[in-house]
Amino acid sequence: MRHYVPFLAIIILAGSLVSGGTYSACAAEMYDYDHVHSSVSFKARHLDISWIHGRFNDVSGKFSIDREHPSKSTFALTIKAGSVDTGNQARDEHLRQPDYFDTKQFPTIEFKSTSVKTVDGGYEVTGDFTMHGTTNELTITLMGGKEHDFGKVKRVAFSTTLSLKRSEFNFDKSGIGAIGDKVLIMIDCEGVRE
Amino acid sequence: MPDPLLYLKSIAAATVTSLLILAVCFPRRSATPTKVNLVSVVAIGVALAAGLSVMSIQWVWPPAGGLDRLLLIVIPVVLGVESISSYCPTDRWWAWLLRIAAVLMTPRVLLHQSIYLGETDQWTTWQRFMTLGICVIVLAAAWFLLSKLAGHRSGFSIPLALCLALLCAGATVMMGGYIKGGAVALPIVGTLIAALSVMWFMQRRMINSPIALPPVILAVGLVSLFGILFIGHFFGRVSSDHAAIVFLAPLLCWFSEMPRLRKLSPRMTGVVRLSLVSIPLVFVFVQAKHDFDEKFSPLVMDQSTNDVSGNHGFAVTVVDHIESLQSFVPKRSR
Repeated sequence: MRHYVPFLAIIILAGSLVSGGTYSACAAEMYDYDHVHSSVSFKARHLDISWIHGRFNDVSGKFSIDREHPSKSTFALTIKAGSVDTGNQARDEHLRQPDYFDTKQFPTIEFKSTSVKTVDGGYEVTGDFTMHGTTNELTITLMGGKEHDFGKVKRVAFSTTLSLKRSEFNFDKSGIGAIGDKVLIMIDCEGVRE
Repeated sequence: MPDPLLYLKSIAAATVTSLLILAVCFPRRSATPTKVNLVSVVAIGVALAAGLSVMSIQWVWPPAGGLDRLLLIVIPVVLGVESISSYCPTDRWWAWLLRIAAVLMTPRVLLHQSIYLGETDQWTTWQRFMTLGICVIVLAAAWFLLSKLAGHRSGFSIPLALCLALLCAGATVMMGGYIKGGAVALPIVGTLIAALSVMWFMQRRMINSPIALPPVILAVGLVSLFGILFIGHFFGRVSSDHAAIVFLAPLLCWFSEMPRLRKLSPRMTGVVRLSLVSIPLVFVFVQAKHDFDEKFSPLVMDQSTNDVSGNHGFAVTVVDHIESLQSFVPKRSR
């Protein structure tokens, strides 16, 4: 029996090392939304002849990426609706009013993933998109996912464009007309972790 | 975007509905206060629903925004309270208990799930308590004082003063940028004016049994005024000063009870009351118009500069808004 004890100890040690290593390889990597190198912008049709552009300046988010099991990856983004910026202060204040975003009632626009699967060049993410107090399921294609290591900081980046209709999010119908119902949202974000 | 034609249709729908229901259902043979008030409750409720439906108000339950809660919860509760209190005209304490219950819930309901009451750092608990408390006290006091004054003489001038204040509140909220919030004042005013007209006409016809002003007219007018100013301030851009002045303006009707003015004829009393109420309302209206011009003039400037750069999208819409609103507003004297 004594001859077997060191042997068993080696097996247990080796097993724990292997399992630990496997765990660290499979564990999802958590990233924070990098404010400096990311942007959430939008554009909407005006009179069906031109585009109005704007962006949201206050965005936060977290995403975890599991390279081994992509379905376990998660993506979450929270946009402060009051940070809307179209380059004109008076217009921005108008957009914050209840006729549009109603930021005192619905201060945030949120996206939370519910399922993730890989596609060529990125991920197809399905999730709940909440805006103006209404939650609808959306599927977006996040392109990218390349990593960059610089010192202790690791980065990963994604970009996507999604199209949605304001009427599907309970926006006031009288505010839809001159400004088109359809809005394109462009998200270019970098995740950062130390 | 303001749509004057839609607003006219909405006012017409509310006015005609209110007139029709009251003309058909008015208890001509035995016009007791209970029956008159109950018919008025039905007429005002249906007329408001008709006018607001024309205005494309979304009837979605549960109501998500402050305006939706005003129209779907607060005003129906006031109508319910007034219809119940119709049955206890002799025991007024019960009626006032119900009204106080409605007053207590109104500010809380209007701010439900907003940043002011949610888990944000917008307000501390103490601020919430103070703000809601002050609003409740002011609304209850105004309701009591105006009801008491309406019971004295020339009672019809009180709801007329409320209608003037409602028009001013609607215009102020609209010029603050919350177009729909202000526009709902129009069908409310149409409804109340129609109900008042029928009451006035019936009072003239039934000289032997004069008709008292149904309390529901005053209740709906006052709570609507409070609600529009409240959401205009907390969700829109109406300043607290303007909101307070417009809401308290109808209380100036009490000046007609001063010893020298008390001797005036009922008609002159009404004229004095409406004139007094108009003074602060005109002041607020001019101020709101001035703020509107100041705020939106950069957008007008942007239109010319953006036309050169080719990025003339949104500014044109805002100019459209201004032009539509200015059709309601007299030109400022220079």
